[in-house]
Parts: sequence; structure tokens; C-alpha cells
Amino acid sequence: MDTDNTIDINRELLSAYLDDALTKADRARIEMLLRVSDSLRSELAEMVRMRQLFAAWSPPAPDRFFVRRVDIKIQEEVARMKNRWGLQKFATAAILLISIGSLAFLTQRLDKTVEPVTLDAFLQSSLDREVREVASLTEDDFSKDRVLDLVLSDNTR
Amino acid sequence: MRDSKSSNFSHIEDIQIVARVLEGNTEAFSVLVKRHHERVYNTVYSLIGDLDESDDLAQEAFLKAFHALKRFRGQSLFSTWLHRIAVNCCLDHLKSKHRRSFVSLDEHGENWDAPRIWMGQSKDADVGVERRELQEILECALNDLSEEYRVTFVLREIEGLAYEEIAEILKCSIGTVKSRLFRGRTKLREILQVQYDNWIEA
Repeated sequence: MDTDNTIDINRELLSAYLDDALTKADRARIEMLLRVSDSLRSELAEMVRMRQLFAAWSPPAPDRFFVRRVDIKIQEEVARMKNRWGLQKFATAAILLISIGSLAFLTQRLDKTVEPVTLDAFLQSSLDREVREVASLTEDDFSKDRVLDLVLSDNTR
Repeated sequence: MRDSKSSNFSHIEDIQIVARVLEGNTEAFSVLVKRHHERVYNTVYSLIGDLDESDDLAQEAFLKAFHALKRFRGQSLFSTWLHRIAVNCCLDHLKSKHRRSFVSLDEHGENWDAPRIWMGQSKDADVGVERRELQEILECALNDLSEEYRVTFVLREIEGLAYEEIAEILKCSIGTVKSRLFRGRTKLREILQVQYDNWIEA
């Protein structure tokens, strides 16, 4: 006597038999069972009829503008993608330009504010200043007080 | 202009058209839409059961396919790949909202009569009306199935896909497809039991 489980397995095989999706061995098994089982034959007949029932059912067709609507949406999407790509390129170019501009500006500023001074140039410029100061002295500047002032101011500089 | 372009593709395989689209000829995608829109729409409608939603979802499926075209490797047929996208759109949609039954069988009440076309009692003049009635009943019965049974049943019974294709679309084993089909058919019979018994007896 078949258990419930065996019956279920056979019915599942029957469903696959209907779809011609059984292995040779399973097909032979179910065909043997069909020969001896009225209930299984009846169940197969019901499955076939249900299939006929659904074969009579036809889903409605899309309207004739469906393809056009999809075409329009696709082309809109393409345009949007192109715009997005264009904006991205523009933004990248702008960032690059700003970066290069800033770099150039900073380099220029740096050139002007920090002039490289060699030791020789520094000494020469100090000597020139001393010479100019001495040359600009008048007779009064050689008075005792004035010389003292100059010496003191030099020492405190 | 577009039609003449499209006609050039009439004897070209889907995968070659995909290559053209990826090369930048986006208008070629229209050929794929023309080739597959009816089947995609039918599948979506079978799964969703609502005209407006089916229209939107079928369009969404094509848009998603267009965006994902780079990922199409040609390992399966383009139609199988497209169907997978359409089915996934439907599954996502069904998950995102509680499934809406446009007319539930329960709404017909206990005194609801099976269409006479089932019982062979229909006159020719009634056939159109009976057929519409039958369509509605079958849609309702499908709507009352759980999603996994419904999807599997529709792909097999309405779309006529092989078990292997269904398994590929649903990313499950062939054994699972067999099992779901068996259970789905059993459940459908239960749903349609009263009407079905009348029909069988007839």
C-alpha cells in the first residue's frame, strides 16, 4: 500500500510527466503506475484539462504605441546620460583649470616675495649702505657729541 | 528613417544588435523592443494582472535591460535574460506592495456560477461574453496563488518555457521548479475546485 509521501512523489512526477520533463527511468515508472492506477489516470486527465483551460486564456496585447513609448524613454535616457557626462566633463575641466590657475598664481607670488639672496650680495649691500652714510656726513656730524651719538646708535642697532 | 534603419536589422541576431547598441547605436535597441515587447508584456501581465501596471513594468523592464546591457555576456539567450529582468521587475513590484486582486474569487460569493463555456452549455452568441468571463476567472485564480507558484506556473504554462529556462530565470534548481509546479497546479485546482468539478463532470 502506498504511503502519503509516495503518493505525493508520484503526483509530482505526474506533473513533470505532463511537461515531458522526466528522466527515462521516471517516465517508465509513472507509465507503469498509470497502467494500474485509476486515480493517477484521473489526476492526469484533470491536469490535461486544466492545461487546456489555461491555453484558452490569452493575456491582452500591449497597445500599438508601446514600442514608441519605450523608444522615447530610451532616447530621453540617452540624452540624460549625455548631459550628465557633459556636466561631469565640464566640472572636471573647471576644477583642473582652477587648480592650475591657483598653482601658477602661488608660484608667481612666491617668486616676488622671496628673492634668493646670496651672502656676497648681502655683504655688498651692507657695505654700500655704510659708504652712503659716511658720504652724507657733514662737518657738524664730526662734533664730539654727534660722533658719540652715532657710535651709540650703531651699537644699539 | 528609423524604420529603414530598423529593417536593416531584421535578419540579425539579438546578440549582434546588442553589440551595435553598445557601440553607440542606441536606436538599434528599438529593434529588440519590437522583437520582444509582446512576450515581455504578456509575461508581465500574467504575473501582475493589471493593464496599467503591466504597461509601466514592461517599460521599466526594457529600460533596466538597456542600462544593464553591458552586463549581458551572451551566455544565455537575450530573450531569457530580458525575461529574467521582466520577472524580477514584477517580483520587486509585488514585494513592494501588497498584491492587489482586481476581482477576488471570494467577491463572487458562494452563489457564483461557473461560466457555461466550461460546461459546454454555451451558445455561439454567448461565447464572447463567456470567454471574457473565463479570462477573468483564470486571472483571479492566478492572483490567488502565492507568488512563487504563480511565477513558476505562468512561465511554464503560459510562456511555455522549459524547466531549465525557468530554473535559470528564477535562479533555483530544476527540482524546485518541478516541486513548485506540482504544488501550484494542486493549489490552482483547489482554488477552482467548485467550478472545475462542474467543468470536469461536463
